[in-house]
Amino acid sequence: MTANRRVLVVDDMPAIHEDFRKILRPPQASPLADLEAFLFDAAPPEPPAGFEVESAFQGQEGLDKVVQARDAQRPFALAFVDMRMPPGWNGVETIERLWQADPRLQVVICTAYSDQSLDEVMERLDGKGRIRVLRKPMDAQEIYALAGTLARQWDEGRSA
Amino acid sequence: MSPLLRSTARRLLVVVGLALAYFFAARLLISLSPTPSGPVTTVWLPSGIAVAALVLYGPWAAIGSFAASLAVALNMGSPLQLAVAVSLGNGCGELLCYWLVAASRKGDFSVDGVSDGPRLAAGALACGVVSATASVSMYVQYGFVPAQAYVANWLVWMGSGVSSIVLVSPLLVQLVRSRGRLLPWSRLPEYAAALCVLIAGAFLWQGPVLERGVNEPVLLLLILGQIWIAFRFSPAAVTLSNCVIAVFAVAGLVARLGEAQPASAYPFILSLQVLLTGLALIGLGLAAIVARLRASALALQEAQHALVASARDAGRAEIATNVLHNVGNVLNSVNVSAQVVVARLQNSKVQGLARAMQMMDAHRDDLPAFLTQDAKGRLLPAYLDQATKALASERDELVGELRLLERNVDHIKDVVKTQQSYAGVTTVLAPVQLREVVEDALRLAAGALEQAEVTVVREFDDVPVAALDKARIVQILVNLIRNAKHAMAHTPGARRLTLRIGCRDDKLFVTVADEGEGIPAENLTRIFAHGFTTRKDGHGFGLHGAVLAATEMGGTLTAHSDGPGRGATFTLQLPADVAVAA
Repeated sequence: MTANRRVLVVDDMPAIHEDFRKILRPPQASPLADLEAFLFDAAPPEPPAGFEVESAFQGQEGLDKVVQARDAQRPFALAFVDMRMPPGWNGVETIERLWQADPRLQVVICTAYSDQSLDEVMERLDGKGRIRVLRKPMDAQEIYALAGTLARQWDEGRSA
Repeated sequence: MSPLLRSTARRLLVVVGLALAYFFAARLLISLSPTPSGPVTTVWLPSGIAVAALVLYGPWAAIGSFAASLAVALNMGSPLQLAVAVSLGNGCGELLCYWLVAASRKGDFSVDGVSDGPRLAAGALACGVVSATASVSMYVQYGFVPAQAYVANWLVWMGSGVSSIVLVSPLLVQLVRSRGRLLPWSRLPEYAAALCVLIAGAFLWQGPVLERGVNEPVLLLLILGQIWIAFRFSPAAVTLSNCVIAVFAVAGLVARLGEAQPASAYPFILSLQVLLTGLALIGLGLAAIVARLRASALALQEAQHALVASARDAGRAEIATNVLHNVGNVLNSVNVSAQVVVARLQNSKVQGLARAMQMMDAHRDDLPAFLTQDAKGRLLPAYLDQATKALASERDELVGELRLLERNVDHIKDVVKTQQSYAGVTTVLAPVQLREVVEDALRLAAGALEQAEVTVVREFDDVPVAALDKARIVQILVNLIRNAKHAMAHTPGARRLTLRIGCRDDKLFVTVADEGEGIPAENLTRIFAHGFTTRKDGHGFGLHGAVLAATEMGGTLTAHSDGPGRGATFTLQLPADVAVAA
């Protein structure tokens, strides 16, 4: 079975979605790659496999997309969820509901600062290994690596 | 000597001491009593002494007063049963009073509370009633006092007990507890003046003159004197003035009555007792009320200081939160844009072009043949064409990304500029004692100083309270202290940090001196420049910020050093609107 590379980003700021796309989407296949390989006797480089990124701007919207994806047999492997998304649910509430809909979803919670201390949050969510924390401002390479790790974790969970 | 033995010896000492004091006070009073027969006196001093001893040392001391009372009664020729009964009555009364004023309050007798005066009066009354009833009844039974004089005797006996406890016990307890320091030495002249007024009043009054009504104008002196002391001094000081009034009023009465008949002395004595006790209770009550008002005012002032401090903190926190929120998210995009640009450049088609040129260079001699006949060579022109186009689109992408980056940085600049207009304007001046400010700064830096094993030497002159921006000064001082600590990080031996406070030419100053690595002469002004640091991990903003803050307050921050390795001294000078009343 092919690896699941579907990622959902839930954040109320449009700029954040742009950032995630830039980091996670697969680079455009260069039409010159094969030509170069032939000309310069180089092995065609493995293009880094990107992710399929979808966006939701509120917790409710995110839940709808997760339900839709699950029902269509194309569930998301992981979701990046922001901590504060007024006026709707905050990050914690959103994640609880997402897990009710799809318990296998891996989650990364993104926080610049929060009003609940992080320990309380983690205790409330009781992640069982499904949750990571990311502090803003974010590092592109860290996010890419994290997405890869969690997607792999999702695949292993499916086969287990 | 074991603790048990020591405490027993101490108890024995107290009991014997009390007994002796009681006995001799009784003998003294009896010898001075206006009525030569019977132990009736205006203020029965021994009762007051006994109750004070019970309060100070515990109820077991009553043994001493009982023994002494027995001795006194026997000494005056009373039969044994009478003596025992009277002593028992006195003893029970004193214990009852002790319980009311101290034991029921978990052992803490005081005159500082507003309800303490009435409580004292109640205890004294209880003692007086018990003691008078027991004693006068026994005296009547044994024929020492005629039955028709029962009420008069009872009243005066009670009055002498009550007045003694109200007048004498508080003074004795305060004297022992404060070891003689009832009031601050600096205010002794004022207190002595008030006492003189009271002494004159008490002696002139010479007690009530019943034929012509009470001597009102002189009484006014007494009342005014008590009010003066109650408002200007503490309840403890009032206990002394109460006694002084009593002593001189009784002396005056004794001087006047001299040879008067026993029967006609009773009304004087009773009214004197009532007046003395009343004056004493009023004095104590007033003083307690004033003391409580003063305490509230102080608490209010402290609350205000705390409020100002927390308002400042809240304001600062709000600025920080705003900046965090606005800038934090934008920084994300800045970060990502920068990393995208770097990644793109790393995979740029420029490298492909370079390789293509290498290839052509390698076939320099037979280039036309290479380009037309070689399998790879034939593809080269098309490749060059496509690579050039790819490079152009790369360039467009990168320009777009960098423009976005620029916009985001501008956004951050706007946010910072806006917050700058809020920050830095809040100067909160409050009357402050510079010594406290320095101690606050030391407390904040205490952990770091302890870790670095730095000893702090304080050389504080007395400086007046002044209107200062406490928070800014603390900020500057913490910065200077931390710098001093770092300067001494490699100093072998003792690491001393000396802090001095003083006042010179109407300016307050604080100096922070260390014995660390010192400052070379050419750096003495450069150290205050933005970004200047000699520490590997320093950022150079500390001293710059400190000198800015000092200037904002209208003061100066200067550095002095004898050279490398000879330590450094930083002096913060502040304009002092000196002598602002606290």
